[in-house]
Amino acid sequence: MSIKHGLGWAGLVVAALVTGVLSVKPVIGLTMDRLAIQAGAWRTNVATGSAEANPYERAAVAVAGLYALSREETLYYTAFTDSDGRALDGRCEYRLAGRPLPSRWWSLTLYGADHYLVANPANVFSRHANNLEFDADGSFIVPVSAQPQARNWLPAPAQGAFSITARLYNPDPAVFADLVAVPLPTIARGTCR
Amino acid sequence: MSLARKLALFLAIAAAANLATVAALPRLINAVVLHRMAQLAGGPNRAMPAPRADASARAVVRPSPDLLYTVCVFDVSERPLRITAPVQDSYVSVSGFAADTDNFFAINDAALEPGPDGVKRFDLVVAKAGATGLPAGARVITAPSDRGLILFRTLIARDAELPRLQRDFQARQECRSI
Repeated sequence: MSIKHGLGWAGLVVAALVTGVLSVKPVIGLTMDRLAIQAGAWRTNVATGSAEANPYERAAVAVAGLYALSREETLYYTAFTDSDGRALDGRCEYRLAGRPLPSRWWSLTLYGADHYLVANPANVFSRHANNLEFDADGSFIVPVSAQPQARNWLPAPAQGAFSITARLYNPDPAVFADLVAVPLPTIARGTCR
Repeated sequence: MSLARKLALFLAIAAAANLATVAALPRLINAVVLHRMAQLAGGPNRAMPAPRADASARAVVRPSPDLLYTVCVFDVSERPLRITAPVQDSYVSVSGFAADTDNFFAINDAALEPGPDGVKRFDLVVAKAGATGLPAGARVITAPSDRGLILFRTLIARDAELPRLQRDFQARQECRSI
């Protein structure tokens, strides 16, 4: 085998290895898109935290949800978009409309694009049964925006992408019969700057 | 070798590299986080209560601001781990995560039976497969890996309860080698 021929093979192997490593992030994203259960704007993955998770699901959880509990303990639904499928954007105002979620305890928590809580003057990072004001019919409205709101405000970053996670601790058993039918809040976009 | 064969070889190597990286990623991320936590706690098998998560929290992604977390990096390669904690009147759980990040157990207050004194408390032992000399009466959980993480989650149902939860419950969540 000539030196030139050998270098050609080495180049092919190195290029393939680099391609394989660099494609990790998009392949994880595609796999999660394919395996996610979509319920309106919200998505969940039943294999989260479970030994049933495939390597791509396990890697995705390690990157964006390390130490997540398995579904029997907690179900996690996350919205990266509004109910019309547009990415959540800090320049816009949103209105979450919903009812108490079917579980022992539930919460709605907002995270920045870096997956951490977002600094805000009210030090409010989540809304749940004990810090929400409900309407007479038991429903609630949560305004999501960077600008302070009078009631049930869930602060968002002034710009950039963000997401909202609904946690259902000890979900009602009926939830598992149809994970798409869980009555998660709708997310309507209002005005944008 | 034909161009088609070269392309097939390229794709096979790329796919193998992709899968190997993906398979290694959780263990690598977990190892880094466990190392950092164990350093902060002064070593493995020690409970470390964390402050309530806010915008400055950077230890773990997507923390819940409604929970008090206590972490315990475990190493049961030589001795089992005993976990004890009191139970408040709202949600509290103890969960275990293996080296590959799998959640290998989670037990919350609702699943506990009251003791002879009518009080619920956590009393768990995490041990590697085949461990002997385990304490009688404790609930034994087999760890799928020698190292991993125990996580206590204590619900802060109301902000006003935070000082009491930290003082009377989180501060008494313990894990230690036996």
